Amino acid sequence: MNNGDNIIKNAMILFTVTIIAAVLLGFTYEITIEPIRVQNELQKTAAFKGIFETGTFEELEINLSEDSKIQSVFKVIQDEEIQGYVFQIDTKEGYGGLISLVVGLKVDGSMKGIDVIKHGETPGLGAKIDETEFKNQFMKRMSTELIVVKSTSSSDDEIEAISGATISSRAVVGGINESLSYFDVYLKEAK
Amino acid sequence: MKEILKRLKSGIIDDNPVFVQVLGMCPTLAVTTSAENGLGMGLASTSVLVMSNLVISLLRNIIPAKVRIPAFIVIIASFVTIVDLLLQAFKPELYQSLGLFIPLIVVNCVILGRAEAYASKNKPVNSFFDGLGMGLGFTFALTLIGMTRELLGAGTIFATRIMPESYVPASIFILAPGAFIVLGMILAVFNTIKNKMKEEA
Repeated sequence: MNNGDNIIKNAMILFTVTIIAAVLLGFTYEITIEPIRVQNELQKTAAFKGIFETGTFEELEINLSEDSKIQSVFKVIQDEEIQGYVFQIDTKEGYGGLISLVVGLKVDGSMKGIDVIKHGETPGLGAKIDETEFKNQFMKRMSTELIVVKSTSSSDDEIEAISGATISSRAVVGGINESLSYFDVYLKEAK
Repeated sequence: MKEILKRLKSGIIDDNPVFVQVLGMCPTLAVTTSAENGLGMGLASTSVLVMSNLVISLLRNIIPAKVRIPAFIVIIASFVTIVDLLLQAFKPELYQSLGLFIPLIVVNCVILGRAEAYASKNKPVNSFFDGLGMGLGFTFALTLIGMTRELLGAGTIFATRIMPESYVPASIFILAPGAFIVLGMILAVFNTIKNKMKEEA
C-alpha cells in the first residue's frame, strides 16, 4: 500500500470509494425494489392459501392505529359467499424480535388455522412456533382471547406453550388475540 | 499454484479462522444453534469474503494506508447489502434460509481481518483463494459446531432425528453457555489433532 501522507489526496480517494459504493448500492436498490415487493406479496398469498385453500381474497379497509399488530385484513370469498377472514399480523414481542403471522378465522369466529411467515426465534426452541405440532393447536378453536399455559390445555381458551419457549409462544398468541378481538368488534355481524 | 494450495490449506486447517485465529466469535457463537444455520452462515460469509478479498486486492495500490480501514468497511458493507437485496429480490427460497444471517456478515471480523492481513498486501488471484480457504475453514468450523450443538441440544442433525427417542435433549447446548462449551471443546480437540499431525510430519 502506498503511504500517501497528503490528507487531501487520502480524503479524495476515500470519497471516490464511497461514491462508487453509493452508486452501486443505489442501482441495486432500484432494480430490486419491485421484485422484492412482488416476492413479499407472493409469500403472503401463499400463506393465505395454506389456510383457505380455495377462494379469493379481498382486502378490507381497516382504520387502526400505528401500534396495532394487524397489518391487513382480507375477506375470503368463495361462490359469492364469505368463507372467513385472514389477518396479516406483525408482532415485535418475539424472543428474537419480529414475528409475522397469518391468522385465518371462519365466518363463525372459530379459528381455521395460522401460519408463521417470518420469525427470528431460536432453532430448536422458539422456532417450533412454525412447526405443525404447535400450529395445529389453533385449528377449530372458538375463543375471544387465548391464554398461554405451561401445562396441557384444558379449554378452548388455553394454548400449551412450547417447552422452553414461553416468550415465543406468548408472542404468537398475543398476535392472534388481536385478530380475535378485531373480529369480535368489527366482523362478527357482517355478512 | 503452490501459493493457491497453501492458501486453501491454511484457511481450512493451519490457520482456521475459528479454531486457530479465534476470529468471528460473534457469529460463531450466535448462529450455530443448528447445523443448517452454521452451514448457511458459513457459505454466505464465504461468498462475501471471496468478493471483498478480490476487490480489496485489486485496489490495494490505490487505497492509501491511512484510510484503508474505512475504505475496507465501505467495500465490505456494500457487498453485503448488495447480496442481501439481490437474494431478497431474485432468490426468495435461498433468502428464506439465509436471510437472517446476511446483515450479521458485516460485523464478521474474519472478513476485515483477511482484508487487512492478506488481501491488501497480495495479488488478486492469491487473495481470492485466501478468501476461499478462510471461508471454507469458517464454514467447516461453523457446521461442525452447529451439528454438535443441534445433536446434543435437540437430538437432530440437519433436522433429521439422530438420537434415540429416549434421549432427552439438553437445551443448554442450544443456548449461549452451550455455544462456549462446544466451541472450547472442539477447539481443544482440533488443535490437539493438528499439532499431532505436525509432529508426525
